[in-house]
Amino acid sequence: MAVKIQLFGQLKQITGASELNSDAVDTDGLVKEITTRFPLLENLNYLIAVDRTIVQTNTFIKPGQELALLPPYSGG
Amino acid sequence: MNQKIKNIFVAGAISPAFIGEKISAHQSKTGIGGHSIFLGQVRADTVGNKQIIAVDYTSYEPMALELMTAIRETMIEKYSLTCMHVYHSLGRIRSGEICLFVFTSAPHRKAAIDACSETVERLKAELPIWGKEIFEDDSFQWKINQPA
Repeated sequence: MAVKIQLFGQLKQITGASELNSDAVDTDGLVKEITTRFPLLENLNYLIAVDRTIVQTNTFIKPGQELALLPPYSGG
Repeated sequence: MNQKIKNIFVAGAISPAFIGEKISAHQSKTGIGGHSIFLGQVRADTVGNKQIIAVDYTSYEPMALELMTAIRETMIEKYSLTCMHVYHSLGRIRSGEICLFVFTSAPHRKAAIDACSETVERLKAELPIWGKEIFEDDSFQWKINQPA
């Protein structure tokens, strides 16, 4: 079951996409998959949000969840 | 979270007239003894020999608004604020224009000042907002926030 991943800031610029689909079953798998598709992301810092909450450890991805990759913030 | 999610985002720069209107809207709240206001302005930094002419702001809006609602709730309770308003620009803001407006009001000054300052720090550290700095030749770099 594919989930949609939203990309922001520099990640959106590098991948050229504001949204990607992934079949990853957990967030570690997602990072691996994205890095294989976009090797330039390997050296970038970003956080993963699942349903608008940052996850710090490997987290299972359930269908229908809202995923987002967030580069360092620079608001204000 | 019971509180209604408030939108903080404004398309384009925040005008001095808008700020003035918000101040004047508080004249009827006579329990207020002090307001504190922080205004963020886009700085025309020079990098190498190129000058920044604007910043393009984008956000993961639903997440930013949820987080800001929680920060707001915490600040109002912690500092017993009478009220608090936050506005952040999205889109292209030219250097010299205002992109952030934080406005806290309380019966006494210290609470208003401390709440304003803490809100600015938390907002910069915690809200998923990104600034892309645009140079005069259309090249760009991603903004990095300074510690203070």
